Amino acid sequence: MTEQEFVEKNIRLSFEFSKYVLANPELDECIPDNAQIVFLIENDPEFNEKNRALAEKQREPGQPVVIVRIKGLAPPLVSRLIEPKLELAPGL
Amino acid sequence: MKLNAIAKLFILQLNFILTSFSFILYNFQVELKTKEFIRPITENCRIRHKHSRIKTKIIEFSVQLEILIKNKWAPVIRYDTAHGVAHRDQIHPDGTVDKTPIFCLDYGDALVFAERDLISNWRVYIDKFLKEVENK
Repeated sequence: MTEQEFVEKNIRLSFEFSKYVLANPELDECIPDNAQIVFLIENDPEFNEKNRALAEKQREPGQPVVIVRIKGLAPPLVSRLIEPKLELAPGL
Repeated sequence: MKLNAIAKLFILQLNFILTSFSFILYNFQVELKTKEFIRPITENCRIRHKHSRIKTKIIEFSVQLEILIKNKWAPVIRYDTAHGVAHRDQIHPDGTVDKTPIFCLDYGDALVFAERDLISNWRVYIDKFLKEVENK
């Protein structure tokens, strides 16, 4: 994994995490204020090792850390529509 | 006598209004929840995220791209809702700020837009900031 691949993956997770937190208000309770968020992906030791190292370098003294363990990412083109039904309008 | 009755009525109404206002304010404060967290991007770069909401409704937010320069974190781009309007601040190394409004009625949409812009363009913003630091 190149440095660029690592950064791109991390920032993608970062964005998806924000959306997930916004959609799930109860998660606010699990995140102490000013916490550093660290993502770990199941079965991706190389990414996890790099991300732990990055987090450690950036961590401020006394800063709480929240580890977010992720199984993976869904395909990027997921629509927000709920059960849309398409029908051909006859005579148009 | 009549004037006294009117004054009493006025005080009663004022008391009612103040009590109602305090009740609304109390509920707003109880329901309003604020959260702030930081996500590292690279060794010298991170995103600070802050939002306040009532249940799922975003009331205000701030998302800031920061760079580590001379052992101090400096803001580069900040999206926020200060002054009641969602906007982007581009912060220059000399401290000056360029403001650009975001035309989103819903702060939740504006927040997602801000996050998406930062993850897509963070490198461009950082490079531009560093060039300005060099030319300073």
